[in-house]
Amino acid sequence: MTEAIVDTAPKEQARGRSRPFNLWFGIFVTSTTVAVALVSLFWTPYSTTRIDIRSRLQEPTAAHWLGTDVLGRDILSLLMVGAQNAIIVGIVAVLMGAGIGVSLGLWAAARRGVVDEIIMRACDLVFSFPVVLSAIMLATIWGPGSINSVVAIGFYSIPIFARMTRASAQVIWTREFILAARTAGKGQALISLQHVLPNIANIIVVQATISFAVAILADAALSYLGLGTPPPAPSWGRMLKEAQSYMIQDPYLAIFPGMTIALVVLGLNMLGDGLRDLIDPRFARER
Amino acid sequence: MAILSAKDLAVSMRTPDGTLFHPVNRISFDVEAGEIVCLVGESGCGKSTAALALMQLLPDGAECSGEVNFGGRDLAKLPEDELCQIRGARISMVFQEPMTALNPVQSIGRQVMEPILVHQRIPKDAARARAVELLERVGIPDVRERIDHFPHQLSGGQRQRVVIAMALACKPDLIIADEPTTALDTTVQRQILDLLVDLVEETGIGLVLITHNLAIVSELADRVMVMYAGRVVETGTATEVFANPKHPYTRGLLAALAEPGQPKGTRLKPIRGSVPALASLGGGCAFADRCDFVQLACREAVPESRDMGRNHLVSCFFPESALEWERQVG
Repeated sequence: MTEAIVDTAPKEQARGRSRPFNLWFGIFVTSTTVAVALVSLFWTPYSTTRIDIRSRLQEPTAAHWLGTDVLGRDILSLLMVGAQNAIIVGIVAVLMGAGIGVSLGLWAAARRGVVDEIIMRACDLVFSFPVVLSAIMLATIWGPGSINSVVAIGFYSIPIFARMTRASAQVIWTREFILAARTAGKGQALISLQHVLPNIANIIVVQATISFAVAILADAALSYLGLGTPPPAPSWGRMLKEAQSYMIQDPYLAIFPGMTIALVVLGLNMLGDGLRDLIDPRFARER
Repeated sequence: MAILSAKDLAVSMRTPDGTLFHPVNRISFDVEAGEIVCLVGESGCGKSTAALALMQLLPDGAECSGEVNFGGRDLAKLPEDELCQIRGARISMVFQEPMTALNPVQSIGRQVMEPILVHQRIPKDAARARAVELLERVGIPDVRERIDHFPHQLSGGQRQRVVIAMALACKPDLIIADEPTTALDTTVQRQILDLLVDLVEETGIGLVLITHNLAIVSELADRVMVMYAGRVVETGTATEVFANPKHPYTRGLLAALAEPGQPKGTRLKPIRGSVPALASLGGGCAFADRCDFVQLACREAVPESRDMGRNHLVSCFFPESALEWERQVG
């Protein structure tokens, strides 16, 4: 008995500390990324289109904090401008995925039957192709470009949102206040918007942060394959790809973009985690 | 002129293995304006399903037959969009558990406004003013402050008052209250019932009150319908049914009540057995297995309802036998 009490106490304490840490770390990393992207709109240490062959492939120096790439461009500046691309990809993909996916999920949960079946099987179909494959497909149809990769990523996140929304909405539809709303004469569309959506908004927000991170990763992967943002616009994924040939000669070239991607994705995941803990009443009690 | 008149209303459902059963089996009744009709019976006897059938809001897989005449139209034949215009505007409902009947993420004022905004073309601030009026009428204190509160910030009784305000929002002709006081404690029950009775007297709405509490019925009801296994076994005016219960089930329910002032140690008389599973009902009277006066005829056919005079209908082959037996013994 005594042992058990001694055992659980520190664990709970540790958990209590880690949860707000997730949230704050996530907020810090995310807001820093956004701030850097905004700053890069007006100012970067060096121009990202200025080629300076004499100072190519430098290790970090006082003039170039994170070194320079094969064309002598400043890595820090490239990473700063690359944040714009990452944020745009994330926002577009999440808006597309959440906008279409949540509507489809709500519709499926409200209508059930045939509509539900069709929407869910269509989601299975989209899910059966990996995002990279659908991006390659779009790229072969329309040619490579940032829009195609963003559309492919957004398209791929539709079924994720649709499934999650449908599952949580189905639970809400069984609640009595939905029956009460129906006795008040509200139709399915009105009930979905006014009663179901607000009750599952928390889950959607959390999923959005995670999908945002997934989109940045997917964009990095697609850029790495040459299907993403075309040069000269800098993108984190393509920086990694270009660094590959110089791995031995200049490892910093790969380390900094890689670390940036890892850090931002980690931050977004922790933000999602922290938000979930903050919102979910089941975790709130433990906190 | 009855506002609502149900004729041979029946609901059929299937068990997962496909057996057909009738949670509501051919019940007929009228509700007049300003009248309180009580539907009484044990859990699972079909009271709530009957209420949902009146609203035409049965769960998937349930089939409804019979007529629900309301305002000159048969609700059972109306398309869904016309039903939506009636629900909440002309008929509304009060539920058993006010915590779950309210949306947890919407303020109570907003929820009272909703039916008004759905059914009437009036601006938002007029709807809000009406919501304040309604909440004041149902007895929420400090409405101006409370109107933006969320359901969890209110007590159980206040939540039920909010649900009643929502039901009243569009001045309906009929309110169906499904066990509106079961989830509340006794003193609050009394207040909520008083509120409902006041509203009926004040506005002349009809009230269908579903309950298993006979004390409530004897006090409030104009008319009583006693349900057993999906059927109405006895119906009549409340005074008549309570003074002269004819069906052995009704008599059993009344005998099982504790009376104030009865000597200490007096044992209550329960009805033996329990409610039969609806899906396994045979051809006879559903109450036969629990009835003290069961005879051969009871096992062979379902008794039709018989008029015992003064609109007192009983579905029993031998409504007098129980009376006689008691007369002989007592």
